[in-house]
Amino acid sequence: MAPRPGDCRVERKTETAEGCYLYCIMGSGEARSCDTAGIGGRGDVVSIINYEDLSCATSPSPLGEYAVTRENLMAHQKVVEEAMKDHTVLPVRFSTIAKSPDDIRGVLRKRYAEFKSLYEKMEGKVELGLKALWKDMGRVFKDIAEEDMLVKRLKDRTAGALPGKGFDAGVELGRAVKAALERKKEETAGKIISAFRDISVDFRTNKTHGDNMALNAAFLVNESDMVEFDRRVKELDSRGGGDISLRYVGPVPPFNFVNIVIEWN
Amino acid sequence: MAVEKSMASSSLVEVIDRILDKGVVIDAWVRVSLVGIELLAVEAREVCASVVTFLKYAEAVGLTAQEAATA
Repeated sequence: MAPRPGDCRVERKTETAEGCYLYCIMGSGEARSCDTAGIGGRGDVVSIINYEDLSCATSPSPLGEYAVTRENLMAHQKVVEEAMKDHTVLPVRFSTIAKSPDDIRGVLRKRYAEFKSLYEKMEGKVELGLKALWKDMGRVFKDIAEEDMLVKRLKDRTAGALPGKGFDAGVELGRAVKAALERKKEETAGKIISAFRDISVDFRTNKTHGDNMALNAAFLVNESDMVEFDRRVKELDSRGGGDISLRYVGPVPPFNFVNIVIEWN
Repeated sequence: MAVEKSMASSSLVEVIDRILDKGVVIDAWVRVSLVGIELLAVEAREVCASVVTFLKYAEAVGLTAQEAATA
């Protein structure tokens, strides 16, 4: 059957084939149009596709992968953040494109129970992101050099190493320092997480970026506990003694707590 | 300065941290193309646990580059 105007059912054959870009899955009912433009810079309108009491925010898009550029990433994020103002959202991963609205309805139908239960689990909750960074790495390494027994021993040994032995000893020392830094990160991260555990439904720790990042965490928090969470972040910030700087984001779409992998067919 | 709370979209790092590999993943074969961004540099730096990296850590606790290079 030939595609009707306004229907994005097309074969996934040519580069110009049109599909539907997915942003997030939501409940339905109060669904309204989204003022944020869709991904791709063509000014595509974001609209809602419904299946039973679930819905999906989508916009027309060529079939094909999107490059990881600031513009594309932000376009995806902005639509999800906009939807999140009014709805509980299950965010969809970047660059997910369906062949047609029917394919999207098909996925919602097949995995209805799973989406529904995850939706109910996320209802009334928000994700908050917290990163902790050491301000003075010179001091962190100085502490390691003074406190870590292995590092201390290897350092003394390396300093007095015979010519020709220094290189390997240096590598061994470096390895010990790296391990000690990892332990110090875990210890610091553990202390920070414990300050929020009783007001978090769940939490995840992600990979840290760089030596100075001790913690990269996401917390799932009841909306009603958000004010208390804010308060504790401020308290932690002032209690940190100036050693650590915090980066606090939220509410953000619950990417860290929605992990479903599905195939189209 | 006191900690500020912001939306994720105010920081590219916060966005990258989330939307590339988390959330509802449909069609598992669709890979994200890492095209021309600093993310690659970040990954490379983290993966690179080379000799040079270890020597950098050794230097960080006070071993001088000269001592380390006495090979």
